[in-house]
Amino acid sequence: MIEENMQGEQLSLELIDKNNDAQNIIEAVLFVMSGAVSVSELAKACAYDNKAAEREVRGLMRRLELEDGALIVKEIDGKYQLCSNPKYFDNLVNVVSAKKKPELSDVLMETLAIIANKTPATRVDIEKIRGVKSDFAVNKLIEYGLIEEAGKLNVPGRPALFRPTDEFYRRFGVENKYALPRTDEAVESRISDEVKTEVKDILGTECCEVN
Amino acid sequence: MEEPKYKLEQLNFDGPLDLLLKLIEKDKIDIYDIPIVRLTEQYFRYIDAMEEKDLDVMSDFLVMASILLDIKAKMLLPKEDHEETEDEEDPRAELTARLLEYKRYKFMAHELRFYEDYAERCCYRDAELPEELKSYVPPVDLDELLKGVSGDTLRQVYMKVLSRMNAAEDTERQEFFGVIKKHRVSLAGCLKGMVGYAKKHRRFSFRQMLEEGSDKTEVVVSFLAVLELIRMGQISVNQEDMNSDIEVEVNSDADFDHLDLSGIEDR
Repeated sequence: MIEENMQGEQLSLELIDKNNDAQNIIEAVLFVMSGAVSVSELAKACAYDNKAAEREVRGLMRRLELEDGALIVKEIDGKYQLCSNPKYFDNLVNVVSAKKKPELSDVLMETLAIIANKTPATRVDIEKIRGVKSDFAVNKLIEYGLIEEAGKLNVPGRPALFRPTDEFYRRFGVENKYALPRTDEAVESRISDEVKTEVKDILGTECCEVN
Repeated sequence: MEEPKYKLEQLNFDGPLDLLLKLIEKDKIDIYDIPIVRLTEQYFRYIDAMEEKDLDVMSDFLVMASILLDIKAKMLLPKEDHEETEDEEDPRAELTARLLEYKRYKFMAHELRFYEDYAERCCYRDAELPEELKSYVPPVDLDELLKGVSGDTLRQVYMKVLSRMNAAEDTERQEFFGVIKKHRVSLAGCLKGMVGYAKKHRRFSFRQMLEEGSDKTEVVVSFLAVLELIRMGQISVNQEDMNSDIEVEVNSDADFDHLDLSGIEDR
């Protein structure tokens, strides 16, 4: 039956390599480990180097996506984890009780965006952008398990550094920091126009060109 | 009051930058007006209206207000023509850059909410590893741990630690002020001293026993010693009222020579 499907789709025929032991091992490891699994752990499991293991897990990712079956693999900040195919979500909610996720205010979302983009970030990094103390937001995000401490910055005062947790990447479906939402040209020019008008309004004069 | 447009009906903004944006959004101000004054007023009014006077928040707002004033003042000053002021940054540039940066994150935060809606449809297994797997710690491989470590590297590390220790010591100031040592009072020692004192005086007052010049720690530890002796059934105490002296009396069946002081620990 699989044979038939594959003949029907030339593209998938090339990519699907069902007899790839390494990919099967990786799939088995991902299934058993339940959390996000690092490439080095996958490499250890199939006695590959990290680069080869990464290639195989990427291959598995593509294969499962093409098969469009029950499970898919997601990247979680350089690690990998199995999750259910989003198209079966509506069926799953009928039986799986999802934990209630805490509602995130705008303050928390902005703080989270800054930490995710600047990771690892200190409280001061956040305060510089938002112009207000970040202690409350940072503590709340830690409590919600969305950020965690990632060591101390080696400057006077040794401020704590924060980075997003795996849970953050899972909850927002972001693969890594490069996959965060970015402003495109249209948005950039829109907010740049807005700011120009705003600065003019605040100061009562035209603003200079700033990039 | 003829300023209904600046009414503080809406206080759900976060921080001075956000307040600034909301104020401008709400009310497009005439360019030739001097909005900075009113914005500054607005800041102060916000601070007055704050239910809880939080110094941190207040200072954040003051910083923002003074940045605005600073920019305004710089722009009001006439520029001297002969001075090549090219490398001097436009005072508005920083404000513009900050507002831009802030808006980028506002956008990102907004977009993330959509990401969240989509990502919600992916369900992950709860992390539940068997106990033995969870508590598994890989055994320490000493050879691996000490790879490349020779007696010489150990010596170097030791020297480095020593030099760091010396650096932490402030030898210059020590010459003038000497070293302040931590004064430790041991409970066991105090107890022994008290037993000796109690042998001589069968009945004494707590204050009388403490020599003059006892510091706070000594008084506290002596009191602990008294409690300890009461627990051992060696003495009884009596105090008239809250702040009066404590009368200590050695019990008739007291046996000071066979006290078990092994359990007394200094904390």
